[in-house]
Amino acid sequence: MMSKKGLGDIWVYLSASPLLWLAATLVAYLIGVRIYTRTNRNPFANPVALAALFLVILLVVTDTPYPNYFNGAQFIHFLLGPATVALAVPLWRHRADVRRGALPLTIAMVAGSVTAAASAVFVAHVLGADRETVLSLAPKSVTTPIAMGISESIGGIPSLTAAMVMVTGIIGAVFGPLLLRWLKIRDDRAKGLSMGMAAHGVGTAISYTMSPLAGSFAGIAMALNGLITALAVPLLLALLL
Amino acid sequence: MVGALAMLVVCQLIGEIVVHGLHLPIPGPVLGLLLLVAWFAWRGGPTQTMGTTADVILSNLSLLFVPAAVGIVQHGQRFLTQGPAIVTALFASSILTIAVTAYAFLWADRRFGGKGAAPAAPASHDPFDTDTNGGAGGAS
Repeated sequence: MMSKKGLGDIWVYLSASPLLWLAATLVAYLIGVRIYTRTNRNPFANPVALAALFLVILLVVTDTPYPNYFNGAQFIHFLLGPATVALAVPLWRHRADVRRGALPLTIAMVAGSVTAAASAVFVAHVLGADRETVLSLAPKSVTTPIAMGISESIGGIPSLTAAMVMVTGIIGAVFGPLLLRWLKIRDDRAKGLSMGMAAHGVGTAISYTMSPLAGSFAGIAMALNGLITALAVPLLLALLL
Repeated sequence: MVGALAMLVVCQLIGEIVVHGLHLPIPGPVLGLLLLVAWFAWRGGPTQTMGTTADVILSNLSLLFVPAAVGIVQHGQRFLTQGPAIVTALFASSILTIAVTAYAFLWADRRFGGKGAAPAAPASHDPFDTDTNGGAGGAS
């Protein structure tokens, strides 16, 4: 029998090492994926949302600060960079579609980027959110590392922006496919583009499961949305606030 | 596999160096992506290994967002007090953005795109049609 003190010692040891939270993140994600596939890929059972929910409960119950958690989870988080670079492969495979659609792509991305930032800022402002919250919301449709940079440069709170980016991604992943079906949009390019535009990498991951063509258009939208938003947001804020 | 991973990380590294050195408003990995596309254009496409490696990473892309998503615990207080405003804003904006982007693309594609060349039939986008130029670029 292990004494209570023995267990406590193991906990103290494990909670200080990256291993525990790295393992917890992988297991939580696997459980999320299992539930997602068991529910016939029900958008409401989004694996990222489920995994995050399990982990947040775990952190709260064990009274673990986020930096301790991130100490382990950073090994997964780090791969976002190389994964972004890897989007070059689907982009290359679909280069003919991209070249043919260059002008429509640009028009749609500018329209989407401005809509994303302006509508979020407008609604939050009208509903009485404070200035820091409103500013942190502006880049919420952009992929995390870029969004945090934009947030900082316009006076938002970068880590709050990161949280909003994730909530946006999950909303897009959950409701995007339903909305696209409801709007009867069948063009895989339009589907991927709008998902990547509204819900960055999380939307790209979902688009990838629709078709590789949708996935690569989502990847393009995600990559270029960062650039367009970085340029457009300061102008928009000057107009709106 | 290791060669392809090294290629991805090195592209990101060069991207970060250039972005920080020149103070460009784009993120390092995005420039890395563009560099890798340029490399493919020069070498005639990704190697077989690069194709497989990218497919493995991208088919598990969702996992990589979990650590950032958990970061929401840091802002519990703000979400408690301004939650309805934040969530309504995010929700309305996401729905609008998807609809506007999709319709803008479909409209612009009909108006300017194609020039008679209809979008390729869905059948030609076989998910397992990995790049045919696999052998062309021998490096990495």
